Amino acid sequence: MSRLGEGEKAYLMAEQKTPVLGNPGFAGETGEFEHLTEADVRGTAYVGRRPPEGRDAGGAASYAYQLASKDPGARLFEGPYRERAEKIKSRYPEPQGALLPLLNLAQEIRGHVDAEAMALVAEELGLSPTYVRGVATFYTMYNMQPVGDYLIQVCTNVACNLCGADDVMDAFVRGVGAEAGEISFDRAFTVIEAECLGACGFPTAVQINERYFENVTPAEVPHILERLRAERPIRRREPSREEAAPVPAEGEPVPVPEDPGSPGRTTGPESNPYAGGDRTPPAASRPPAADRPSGEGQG
Amino acid sequence: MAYPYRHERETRVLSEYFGDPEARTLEGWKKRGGYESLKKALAMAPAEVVDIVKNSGLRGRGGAGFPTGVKWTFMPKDDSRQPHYLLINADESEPGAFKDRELCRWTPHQLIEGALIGAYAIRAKHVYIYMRGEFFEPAQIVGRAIEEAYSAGIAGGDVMGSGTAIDVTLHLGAGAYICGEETALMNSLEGRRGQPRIKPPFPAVMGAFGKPTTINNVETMCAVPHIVKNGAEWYRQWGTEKSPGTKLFNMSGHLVRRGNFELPLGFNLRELIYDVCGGIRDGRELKAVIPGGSSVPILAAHEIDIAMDYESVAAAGSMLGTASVIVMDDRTDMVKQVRRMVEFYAHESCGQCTPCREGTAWLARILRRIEGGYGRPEDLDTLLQVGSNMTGTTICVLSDSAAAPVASSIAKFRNEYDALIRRAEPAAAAV
Repeated sequence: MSRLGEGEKAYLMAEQKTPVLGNPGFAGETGEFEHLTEADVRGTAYVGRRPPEGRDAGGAASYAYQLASKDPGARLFEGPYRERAEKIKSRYPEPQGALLPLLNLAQEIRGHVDAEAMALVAEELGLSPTYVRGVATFYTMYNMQPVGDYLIQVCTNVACNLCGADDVMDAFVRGVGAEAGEISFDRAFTVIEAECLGACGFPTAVQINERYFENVTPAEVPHILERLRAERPIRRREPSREEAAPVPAEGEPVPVPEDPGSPGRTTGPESNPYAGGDRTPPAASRPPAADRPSGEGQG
Repeated sequence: MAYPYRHERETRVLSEYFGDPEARTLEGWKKRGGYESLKKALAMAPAEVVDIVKNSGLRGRGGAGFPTGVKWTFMPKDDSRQPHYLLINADESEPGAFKDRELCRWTPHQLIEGALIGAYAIRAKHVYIYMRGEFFEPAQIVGRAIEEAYSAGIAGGDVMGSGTAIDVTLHLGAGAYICGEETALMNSLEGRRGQPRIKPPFPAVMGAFGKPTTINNVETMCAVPHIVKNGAEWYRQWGTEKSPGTKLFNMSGHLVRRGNFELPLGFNLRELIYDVCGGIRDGRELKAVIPGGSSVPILAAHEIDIAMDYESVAAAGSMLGTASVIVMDDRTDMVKQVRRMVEFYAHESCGQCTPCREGTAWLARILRRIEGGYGRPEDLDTLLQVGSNMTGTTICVLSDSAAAPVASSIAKFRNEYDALIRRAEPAAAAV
């Protein structure tokens, strides 16, 4: 009964061969997803041109953008972010409506939502920090812990699972070299299992930061990781001598830096003038660059 | 490559411009006849617009299939003292469903046009599009389309020069399946935990921010401009008497052609699988079909000679839901897949009602035990008993959804459970 056109036969054959990154990644085979740069998202125009006052209160609230260069020490709701926060708040009849969008914004800037961010959001909206915590922990997209530069979410729910999502998950865990949920040694990746991503027709669906990679096969995983490593934003700031110094001997557990706000993790003021503030020392006071740990190829 | 697959038997109304990037822009959409329906609707009285949609028989595409026009009539007619809201449910998270994402991605203006018509019909001054947080690309596209609509005076203070003010705001969720339930969605929009509310009060009386609210699915709203433009009778040319119109069928699983196929409601499921989707991959045999997303009972291979409309699928013992057809071939490990579905519900239970919070967790635990080879002979009865206690005892239907695949898979594929349990017995006795 099956009526397979010539084009589809060719497509299926090509699919079986798994060409190197035959999957363009962005929006599967179909879209022309514009990968926004950091400059695009950090601005104020990003949430709409309309002013917060007046009646034109429409437009997008916030996009939960996941930047690869996360800045855990950044100040929230200052500079252009202040304007964005005001715009967001103007779009809801009650301030509390802005809670999720503001948490999204906090996560966009810092990469995760920590207690301080929740307290700041609470203050912004006149809520109690515990209430904000109660809401934030309800939703799975808020990272309560820092994550790698690329958060890889592999859908293993039924539609993808039927088509081999478990193998794709294994391939990512192997390729990254860290257990699910852990940050890889080069701090580039965190792999987690995700519930249905809503791309069941294109299994296996994988969400990496904000991008969808569709029709991912285990064979493609190394290429995707390679590409992400190449794309990874160049860190402007070298790790301090103390940070770079303790190179773990083989076999020893890898120490993960405790302080997410350590200078090695933040982008310099030159890349993001609104972040950091007085938390990061001026460039001149920094110690000279040390060799970067392995895996930080872009260093 | 163009949009993955097209089939000559499709009736493309909503999905006509899938794969056509130009249709995403305001200019491209207007060239394709966009915003004509909005102009037409604005020239009518709101009640007339409601009547057209009511007469068309359009039913909500989010899963429940409630008649959209009837839902709109529940809104207060002459209450100008308080704002009304229209919420668009784009929190598509049902395993198997991927239609709203495609609609938002390819035809954002179709959605905005439908939303504006809907808002005008129910006298809402503000539309919130609640999209799940993972949908970054669709959000970006819809966000840009909203910007375009504002710039062109289509949304905002003076919709197309009619003097009506309708604002459109895109709101992103943060990863919770339950927020697709309408009252949970309202809670989430208000900045609370996404826990469903007890009804009544119904949303049309007291919804988002305590004001009269209507919630419609993306696909429903995308159909509205076409109905307003062409009339109710035109829409009724497809489908059945009680389920008129076309529907996007989301085909996934072991199929030769996966993807969205737009067909009239009442299309035969067997033809859908074997003709439109090209049959089962790798020449395998069909084992089971989930016809409406993971929340509905599973159909066995011999039960697929049914018409895909709300009534016929219900008569076959399942539900049309979102028409998200998940197809499983004869190699499928049914216990594993059911366990995976139940784990999903255990993860997504909001924890409000005890039968759901405890029930989903226990179902998952027992299924893991069976799958892992430690099943006990009485486990199947326990599963069924837990499942029946979870059905109809909670605020929302997530609990029922978790129990449905368990009960139906035990009824239809009991031999697989039995085989695992039989093999497990010596080991279990030894432990």
